[in-house]
Amino acid sequence: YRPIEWAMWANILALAAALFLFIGGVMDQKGFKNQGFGIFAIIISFFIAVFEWPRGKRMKGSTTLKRAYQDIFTLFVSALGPVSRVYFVRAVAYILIAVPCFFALPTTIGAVTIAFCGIVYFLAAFKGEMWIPVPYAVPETQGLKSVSAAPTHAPPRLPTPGQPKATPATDFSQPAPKRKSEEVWTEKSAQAQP
Amino acid sequence: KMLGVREFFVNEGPMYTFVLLWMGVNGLVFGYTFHLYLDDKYKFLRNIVGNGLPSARGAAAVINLNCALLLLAVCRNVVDYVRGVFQCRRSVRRLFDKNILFHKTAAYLMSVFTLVHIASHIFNVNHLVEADGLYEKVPSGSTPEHVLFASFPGFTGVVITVSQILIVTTANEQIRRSYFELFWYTHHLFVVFYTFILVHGTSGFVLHQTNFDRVPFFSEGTTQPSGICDSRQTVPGCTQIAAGTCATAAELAQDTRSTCCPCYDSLPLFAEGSATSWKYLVGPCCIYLFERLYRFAMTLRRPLKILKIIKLPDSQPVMEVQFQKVHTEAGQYVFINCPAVSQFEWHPITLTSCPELDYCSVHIRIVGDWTSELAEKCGFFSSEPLPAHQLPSIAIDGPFGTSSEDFFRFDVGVMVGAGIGVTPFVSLLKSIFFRKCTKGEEIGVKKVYFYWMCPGFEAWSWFATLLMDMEEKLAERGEPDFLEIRIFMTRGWSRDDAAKIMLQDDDNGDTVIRDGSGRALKHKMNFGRPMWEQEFRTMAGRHAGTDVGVFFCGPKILSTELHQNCNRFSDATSRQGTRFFYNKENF
Repeated sequence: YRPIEWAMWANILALAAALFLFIGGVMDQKGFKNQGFGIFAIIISFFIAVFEWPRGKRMKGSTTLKRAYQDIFTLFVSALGPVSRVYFVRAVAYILIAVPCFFALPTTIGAVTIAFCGIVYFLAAFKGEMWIPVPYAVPETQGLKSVSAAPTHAPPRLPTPGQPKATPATDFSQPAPKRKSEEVWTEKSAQAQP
Repeated sequence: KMLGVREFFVNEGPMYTFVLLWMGVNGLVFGYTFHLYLDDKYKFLRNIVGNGLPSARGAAAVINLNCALLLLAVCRNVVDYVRGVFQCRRSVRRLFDKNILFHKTAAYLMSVFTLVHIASHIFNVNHLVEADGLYEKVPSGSTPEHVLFASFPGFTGVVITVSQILIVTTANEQIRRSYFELFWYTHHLFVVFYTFILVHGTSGFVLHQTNFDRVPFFSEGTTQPSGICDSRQTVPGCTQIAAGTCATAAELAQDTRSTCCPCYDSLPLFAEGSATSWKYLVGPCCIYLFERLYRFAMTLRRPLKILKIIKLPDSQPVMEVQFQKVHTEAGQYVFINCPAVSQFEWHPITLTSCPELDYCSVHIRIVGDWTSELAEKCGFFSSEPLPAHQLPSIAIDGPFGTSSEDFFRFDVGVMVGAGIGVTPFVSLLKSIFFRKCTKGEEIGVKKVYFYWMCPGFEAWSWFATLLMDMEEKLAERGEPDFLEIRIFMTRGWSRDDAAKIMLQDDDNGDTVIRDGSGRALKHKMNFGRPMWEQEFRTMAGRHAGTDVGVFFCGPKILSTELHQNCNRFSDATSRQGTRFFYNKENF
C-alpha cells in the first residue's frame, strides 16, 4: 500500500500559485490601489517558482518525473539544507506570504492558492514527508569516452603491424573455476558421449 | 528528410483537421461574443469598464463551449457508440481513440480562458467600484472585496475557480500515475464546478440599455447620457414643452403618440441580461448524467461470476481471470469493478479473450493495491484454488472499442506489444487463430507481423502456447508466411541464460520460448531492441502500394518512435508507396 504523498500535490499548487501571483502582480500595476503588494507578489512569485521547480524524491516508489532543467535548481534548493528539507518551513512561509497578497485585488487568487498550498504542506509535514533531492544522474553515454570502430574482417584476426600485442588479462594455464551453468553444460555433453 | 505534406497527412491529417476545426470554432465563438458586447446597448457599461466587458464575455463563451465538449469526451459509452456509427470511415474513427487527449487539451484551453475571464473581471470590478454608485449593481461605497465575495456572480466565480484549481492541479500526470485515488476523487468536484457554472450568470449582473436609440451616449468615456429628449418640439401635434424639462403625469397621459418623447426618456433604462451557460451545457450535462446512470445500471444488471483463476509466472505474478461470457469483440477493453475489493474503483483492463471462446478473460499483473487485493480475494496466493462459489463477483462497464478493432481492416497488420502491452494483441491473435487457423475463414488481413518485446525469459509462457499452435496450424494449412513473429528479449542474457539457450538449441528451434511439452517456437528469437528503421524499411519494401496498420500498446517513448517511423516511411505520393497508419492503445 502506497500512502499519498501530499507534498507532490502541494508542489504543483505552489507553482500554480506562483503563476497567479505573477499575473496578479503585473495586473496590480495597472490602475489598482495598493501597488506595493503587487510588486511584492511579483518578486515572491519568482522565489516560489525557483524553490518549487525541482521535484523532491518520492518517499516510496521509484519513478520521479523530473522537470526540465531541474538538476540545476536542485543544487540551489538543496544548499538551503533544513529550510528546504522540512516541509513545516514551507507551510509557515506560504501562509505568511499569502497574508499581504490578500490586500490587492488581482493577487487574491494567488493568495488563496498559496494559502491552500501551505495547508497541504502542513499535512505533508505531519505525515512525516520530507524534501529529498533527486540525485543528479549522469546520462549513460557520458561515461563512454570513445567508441571503438567495429572490426572490419571476421576472426581469426591477425595482429595488425605496429599495434602492440594484446596480453591476456587472465592466466590461461590455470583451469577457470566452474560456474553453475557450465556444470549443467558438461553434464549434458557427458550424457551425449556414449 | 523533411516529411512531405501528403505523407504527413496519412497519419496526422484527420487529427490536425479536427484541431483546426475546433480552434476555428473557438475563435468564432470568442469573436462573435466579443462583437455582441461591442453593441451600443452596452455602451453605458463599456464607458465604465472599457473592453474588460467584451473580453470577459468572449472568454466566457469559449469556457462554456469547452466545458460542454470536454464533458462529452469522457462519456465513454457515447463515444463508443458514435465511433460505431462511422463504421466505414477509418480515419474518422481513429479520432475517437483520442477522446481523453481531447478532454485534456480542451481542459487546458478552458483554463487559459479562465485566466482571461478572471483577469478581465478583476479590472471590471475595480472600475465599477471606482465609478462609485454609477452602476446600480454595485452600490455606492462597496469595496472590491465585497463585490468579489459577497455578490452572487463573485461568490459563485470564486467557488468555480477554487474547484477548478483543485481539479487541474491533481490531474497532473505524476499525481495521476502515482496516487490515482487523489486524482479520481478530486476530479468529482466537477459536480460543484458545473453546478456553479450553470448558476454563475443567472443573477443578471450585466445590464444592457433598452433605450439607447432615444438616449444615446455619444462621446466615448462619458457616463452621463448626452441625449436629452427634444422630440416634443419637433414632432407636429405634440404638446410643446421646453427641451430638458419634464412633462407632468397628466400631460403624459394625454400624449398618446409614441413618437413623442416622454420625460423619463432623458434617463437611460436598463434591463438585466440572461444567463447563457445553460445553452451550452444543458445538453452535455444530460448526456453525461445518462451515461453515469447507464454505467450504474450495468453494474446492477451484470454481476459476473468468476469462473477460473490461473496463476502465470513472470517477473511479477500475473493472474488470468476467466469470467462469464458477455458479448465482446477482439481487441476491446472493459472497466472492471470488484465490489468485494472496492465499491467505487473501476479499472480499465484489456480483454485477452476473443468472441469465439465461451468465456471472457483478462490478464492482470499484480502490481498495485487494488490488484493485490483482488488477487487475495480470488485466492491467488493460497496453494489450493478457491471453490467457485467463494470467488467474488465482478461487474464490468463496456466493452469499449479501441483502435485494435480496426486490425482486420488493413491489408497488412503490424502488432507491437511491449511487456504487458501484449494483452490486446493476445485477443486479436486468438481471434485470428480461431477464424483463420481452425475454421479457415477468409479474414481481411493478408499478413500479420507480431513484434513482442519482453524483458525476461520466463515471462508469458502462457502466451507461447498460442503462438506455437498458430505456427503449427498455419504450417498445416500451407500458409506459414501469414504470421511473422519477431520476438525481442530486451534485457540481454546472463551466463546462465546463455547456457540454457545452448542446451535448448535442437531441431525444434532455437528459442527459449517453449511450452510444457517441449515444443519450441519456430521463429527466431532476437536479443536486444528492434531497430525500427530497418524493420519499417523491410516492411515498406515488401508491401508496396498497400495500407499497413501499425498497432502499438506500451510505453510512451516507444510510441513516439513508432509514430515517427510510420510517418517517415509512409509514401502517399506514388501508387507504389506504402502507407503506414499508426494506432495506439491507451495505456
